[in-house]
Amino acid sequence: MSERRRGELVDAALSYVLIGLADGSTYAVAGLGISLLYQVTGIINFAQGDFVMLGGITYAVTAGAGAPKIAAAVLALTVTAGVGALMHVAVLAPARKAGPDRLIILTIGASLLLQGVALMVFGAEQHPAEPFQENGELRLFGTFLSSQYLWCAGATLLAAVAVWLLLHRTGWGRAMRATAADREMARLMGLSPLRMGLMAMVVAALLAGLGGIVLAPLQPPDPTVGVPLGLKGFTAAVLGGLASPFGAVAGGLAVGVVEAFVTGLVSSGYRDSIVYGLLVLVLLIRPGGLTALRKTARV
Amino acid sequence: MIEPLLRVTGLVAGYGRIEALHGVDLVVNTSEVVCLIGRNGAGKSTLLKSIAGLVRPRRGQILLDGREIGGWPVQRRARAGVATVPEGRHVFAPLSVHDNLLLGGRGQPAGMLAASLDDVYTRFPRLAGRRRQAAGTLSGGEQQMLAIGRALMAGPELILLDEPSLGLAPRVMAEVAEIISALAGAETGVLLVEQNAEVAFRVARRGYLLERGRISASGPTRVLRGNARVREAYLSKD
Repeated sequence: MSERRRGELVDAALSYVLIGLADGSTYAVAGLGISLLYQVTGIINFAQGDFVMLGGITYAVTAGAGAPKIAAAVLALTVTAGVGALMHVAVLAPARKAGPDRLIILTIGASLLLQGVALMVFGAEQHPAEPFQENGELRLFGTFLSSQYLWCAGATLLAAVAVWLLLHRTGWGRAMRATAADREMARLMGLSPLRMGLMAMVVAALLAGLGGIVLAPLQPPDPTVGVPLGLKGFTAAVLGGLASPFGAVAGGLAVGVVEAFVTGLVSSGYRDSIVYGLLVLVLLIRPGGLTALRKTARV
Repeated sequence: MIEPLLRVTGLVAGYGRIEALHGVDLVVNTSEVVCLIGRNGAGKSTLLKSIAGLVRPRRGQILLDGREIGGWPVQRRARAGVATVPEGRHVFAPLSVHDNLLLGGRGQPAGMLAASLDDVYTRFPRLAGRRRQAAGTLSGGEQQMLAIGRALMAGPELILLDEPSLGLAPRVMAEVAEIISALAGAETGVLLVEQNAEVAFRVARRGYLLERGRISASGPTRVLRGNARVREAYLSKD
């Protein structure tokens, strides 16, 4: 193999990693919300991707109608947080006695409902949004990337740090972690698991809204983008062990990189099958996630 | 007549179609440790859970400071001053010792919280040395101390202790027993549920014997100690 050919291969590999990390950061944000809600309530929210979709479309439509970007973003966050709260109060809370597995089915129902509502309100077409910065293109290792990906990565990092701080440095976070560890004991100490669940849901929805906003300029959202995002976010959260915000982020980045390599080296047609195959493999071999090296002792 | 801290009258409770308590009367006053002894399945835990609010009573009254609390949800009873140290301790394993204690004192103003923390760490110096450690990594005795300390953080009126000696080595058990006898204070009463009557009689001055959902004997523990039934079934013969 010639020096030149080798150099090209390295460049190609680096560009796959780069594109993968960029796409992966969007899965990471979705995974972050899924893992947060799971930690506090034991529920996997399959509507998380639809919250991303909702945030993205609301942002794109509002900004497209001429509103300032900041105002459009605030509105998008408000809408997703509101829908998250509504879903908890109207769907999950009344059915809380059903147990986590049936609640998971309810989140799938909520996902379908959200898609239907979005279809009626916004129509089936894609809603493009302008990038946050004009003519922002970066050239890294021979690959051109929109500067919007930097916003994506920044938002993901910010979100992960914020979630970690919320859980580990605030009284509410302490109460959420306690509820996750031992619901009955939490109730005996005067905590309300329902209120904790509502808080986790609203935070998860806000994260999804944020993800939708930074993603909208890259992939113009339509009502159907939520489901694959949710499934990949779920894959990210499971890869990360469903236990820590940074695990979910690492999982999301890993999914993105795998996707980029499969698309580049094999074919984009196999992309999803390989990613979901990975999910099945992890669930079979390491249900605790790749990063779960040891289990916390329970006595 | 002054109302006692806790008065339970004619309590009937159970799970599903099974009735575990068939009319129980019991009183706990402030500044006393009262023990409830009985075999496995006698209904001891059901009684504690009914007082804490995890089991809804079917009939009868539960009065705390003269107020009927039998219909209140768990959280409201906790806020009203009922603290539970459940069987198996149930510390929040992944959280640090310090975080466990902070949760116990949730909602208190900063000054009071600091004072409560000081008090607990002085009472349990072994916890002070491990405040950053995850609660799940503590020994059984230390977890029991943490569960008790966490209950104390709330400044409770009534402390419900469920089988604190369970699974502890005799030496540690003696240490925990000493801690429990020091729990009752000017504004606090303790209801101690124990299978191990030796331990219970060492720390409580008054006690009840619960058999198949009914109180079959009660009185000062020195009298109960002499009760033929108690001697036969609950105390070693030597």
